Amino acid sequence: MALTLPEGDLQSRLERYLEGLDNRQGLEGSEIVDGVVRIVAKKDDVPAVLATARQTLGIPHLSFITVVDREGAFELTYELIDLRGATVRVKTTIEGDEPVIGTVTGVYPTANWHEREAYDMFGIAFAGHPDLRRTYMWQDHFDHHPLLKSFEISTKRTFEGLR
Amino acid sequence: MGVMQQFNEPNLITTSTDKLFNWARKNSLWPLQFGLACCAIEMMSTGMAHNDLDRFGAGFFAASPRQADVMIVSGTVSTKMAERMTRLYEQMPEPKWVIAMGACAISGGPFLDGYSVLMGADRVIPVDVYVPGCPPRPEALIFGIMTLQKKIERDQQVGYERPRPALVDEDGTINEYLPEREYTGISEGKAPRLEGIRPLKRTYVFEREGMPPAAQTDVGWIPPEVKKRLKEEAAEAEEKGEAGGETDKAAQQEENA
Repeated sequence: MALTLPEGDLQSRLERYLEGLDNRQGLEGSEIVDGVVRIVAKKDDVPAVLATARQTLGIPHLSFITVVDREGAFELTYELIDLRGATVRVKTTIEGDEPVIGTVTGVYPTANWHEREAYDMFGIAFAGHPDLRRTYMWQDHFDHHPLLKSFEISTKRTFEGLR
Repeated sequence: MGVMQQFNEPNLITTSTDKLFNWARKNSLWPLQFGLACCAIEMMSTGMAHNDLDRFGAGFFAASPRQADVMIVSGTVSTKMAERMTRLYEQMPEPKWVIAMGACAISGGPFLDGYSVLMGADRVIPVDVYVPGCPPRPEALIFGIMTLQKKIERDQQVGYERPRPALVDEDGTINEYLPEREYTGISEGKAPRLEGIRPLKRTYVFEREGMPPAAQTDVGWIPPEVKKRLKEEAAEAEEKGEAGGETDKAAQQEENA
């Protein structure tokens, strides 16, 4: 599949993205700040918003997924870039200690490993992910998510049995 | 062997096999080509022309553990990597030695408190020589290799009692080497120093005693209480599943007892 980059200059592209995503239901906020389109979406709408970005607006790349542990809620940010300088950040919040969100692997295949990492470090379950294994930590005997605020370093727990 | 040059015609040398084999072994150490982190850069530098590890016969980095004599653990060992490292170590043929290079390989270094870092390579494999530094300079690594050579020189092949593990502190006092005392609870800042054992500047820790028991090298180790619980659950499931298999179970229990 040949990659076609979006047309137009930066400002017009940003406005097109904002307008295109604004027409979706469920957006909680949207603005353009410093050449970045910032979107706040409800958690259930995220896959649909990203599908619009990819299929309708033609933003080709999901750059990364970040997670912030707000102790009781998780803040996810998906950064989309169109490889010509424009950035779209989709932010969402998941309430609760056992976060679940729909996967975007079907829209952006690169989300596969990003989501695996988010699962590994924060324990966020991505519903519908084809292969939700841990990326970094070992699978066996380490059922903790080390970047959670509630995770405390304990040699005894982490290295139990090594010596 | 300078002695040979004094002979004018073919002759005999009487020596012990210990001396002969140790002489051969210490002068052809082949390190495993294996780098983990920034110390590996220093290790490469040691092998290059300026420092020239070949002077000590240790300049050939064997690309396969089957051909290697020395494993230089050069860098941070993550717990996931420890499993691979142990496997590499086990694939090396005897006799084999290990050099822990740098703060990370000795104790975990600056990453001591990390959630994924092994606190010292000697938790999973027996280490012969510790080379401190972050990273150690090539000279330090060369010193480590020369120290290892001296250690090999002292080695005995048959009919002997292996020297006990010992910690030598800076005054030259020899303490009993008990790694578990060194490490337990250290990252929590709670490790009580045992009476009579002074805080150590660990320059050299020598004399390994064979392989540690399997429980210590097995990274995928299951704590006993979890093992017990799993066993109980399995037994419960069995009890529910088949009512007629009680005689077999009794026999099994007798066997276990």
